[in-house]
Amino acid sequence: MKIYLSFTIAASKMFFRRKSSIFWSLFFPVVTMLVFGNANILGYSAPNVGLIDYANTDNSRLITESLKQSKSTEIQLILSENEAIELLTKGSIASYITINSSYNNSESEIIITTRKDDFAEKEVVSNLINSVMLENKNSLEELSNIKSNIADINYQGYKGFIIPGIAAMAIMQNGIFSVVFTLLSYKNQGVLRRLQATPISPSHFIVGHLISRVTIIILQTFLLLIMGVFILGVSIGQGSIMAWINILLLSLLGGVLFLSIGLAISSLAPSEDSAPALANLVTFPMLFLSGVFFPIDFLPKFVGYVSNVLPLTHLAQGIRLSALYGNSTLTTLPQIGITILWLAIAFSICAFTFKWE
Amino acid sequence: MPIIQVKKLKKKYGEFEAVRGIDFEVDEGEVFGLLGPNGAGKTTTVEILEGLIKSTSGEAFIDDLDVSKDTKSVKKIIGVQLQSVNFFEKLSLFEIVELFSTLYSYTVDPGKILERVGLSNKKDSYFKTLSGGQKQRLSIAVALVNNPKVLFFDEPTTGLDPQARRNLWELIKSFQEEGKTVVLTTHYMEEAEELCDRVAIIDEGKIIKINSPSNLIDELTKSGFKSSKKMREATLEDVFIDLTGKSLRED
Repeated sequence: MKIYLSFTIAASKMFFRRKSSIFWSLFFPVVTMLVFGNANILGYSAPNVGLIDYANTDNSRLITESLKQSKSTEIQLILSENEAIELLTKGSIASYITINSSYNNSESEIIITTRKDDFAEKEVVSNLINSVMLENKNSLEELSNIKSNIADINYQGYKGFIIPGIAAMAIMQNGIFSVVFTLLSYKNQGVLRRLQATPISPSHFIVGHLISRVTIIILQTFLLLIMGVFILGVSIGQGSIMAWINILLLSLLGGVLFLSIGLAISSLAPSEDSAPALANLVTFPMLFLSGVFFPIDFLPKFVGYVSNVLPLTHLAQGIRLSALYGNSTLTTLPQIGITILWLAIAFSICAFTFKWE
Repeated sequence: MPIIQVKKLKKKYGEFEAVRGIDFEVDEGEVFGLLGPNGAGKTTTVEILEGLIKSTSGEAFIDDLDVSKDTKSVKKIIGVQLQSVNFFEKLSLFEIVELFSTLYSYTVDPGKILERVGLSNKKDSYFKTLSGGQKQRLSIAVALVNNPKVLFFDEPTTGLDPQARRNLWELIKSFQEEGKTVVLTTHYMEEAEELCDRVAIIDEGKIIKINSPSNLIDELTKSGFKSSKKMREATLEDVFIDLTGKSLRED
């Protein structure tokens, strides 16, 4: 136990004394987060529009069908106002259309509900509805009024989206690269060989190193989230302590997962020097396909299938659910489950292929 | 009473036989040299004794412990200085020695060990700032953390200047005075002559001869050998040391 502790302390000292490691794992993600957080890219959410048809008459069905034909948006049928609000908060729809039950009467109306300040979305959807009504002018008895409404939700915009994304990305980068580069340098320097000449196994050293890095990864995650709160003014966890605990759990699991992926990469790399290249090959696609910078709904469907397999997708989703909507561990079980599944896969690869020299 | 026994030791790498069946014994308190040209099998032999590589066949015992079976117990009683090792960057010498002592569950004063090898003034420096001789001395300091019975030095003076080399010789002699057993590999003959009680001359994986340096020289001269070089009272190295002084050129 004392040996693990000594190695953990030694690895942490080495981390904090190395300027480049502080730059890449702490400074760099913070700057990325601040840059993207302030860019405030609008309309990042999915081009999906919800539709609640309370009227359910021939006319309303006709409008619904015509809207569905539209190529510019994806219409998603929704049954209740509550469900619509939930989807809007999560960003899986950008707005929703409500066709009231009074439809067909003279005061028939269609309501577009958008998020606060999302004028662009309101314009797009009302133009769409107008054009659909004009197309079907002959079948419709009269043209309805279009009203707009602003949803009463605590929507944090792109800032709220990007912060958990960057936190997850930083877990991946720090986890994979810290292992790959450390092992590479220790193998090249003969440090692992020198440790082999002592009565302890070098695995003590690796485990000590992993404990130190997981701790640093957790610190890094909380540093990013706290900077998000104070500098970007985003609320994290919706005041739920369970959400923060879940973020702690996810960064722990994610840290261990990506550290083991780093170990697996080091063992699978055909030569020592190819390990960093392989690490880039693994991390690079995940940066874009795992919903770090934009939702995976933005991607073509077949790419979305790939995204759903990647471990970072689920880690980012889990952290985002807790950070933005205050989800607890119980409500992020699918994300946690998939992370653990990946952990098991990475662990078995390490167990079968790891070489000390 | 031999503390190291090596019997019919062999090591094959595929088709290549690095060590081809060697036997020798080292007595407790002896400084034993393994001499030979590069690639003769010195390092392979030493690394088998250190438990770093497994022999293909044959046996080796240190303090009656079988090196291939009780590897862990053997590692606890030996101190090892390997060829070309770097230590952790961004840890001070003090921290490196301290870290290695915890690996043996040994409580030592890292400051004292660094003083022993003459690195007290460097205890807060990082490894990469050291000169070649200082690096070797740190390597020896790390080998001392478990107060070992047997010390292995693999080409400790290769690439050092005469002052640093002589300084290291003094250090190695002090271990002998303490009663430690030292196994040393080198390809510098004057070093072997200066330090070793007995030497084994190895070539192509086999021991050609084992004896004390002076006996080996006597044997050769008795056979009628005459050096083509005239022996003088001093060597060029003596001149060099006389002119440049004995003190180390590294702080």
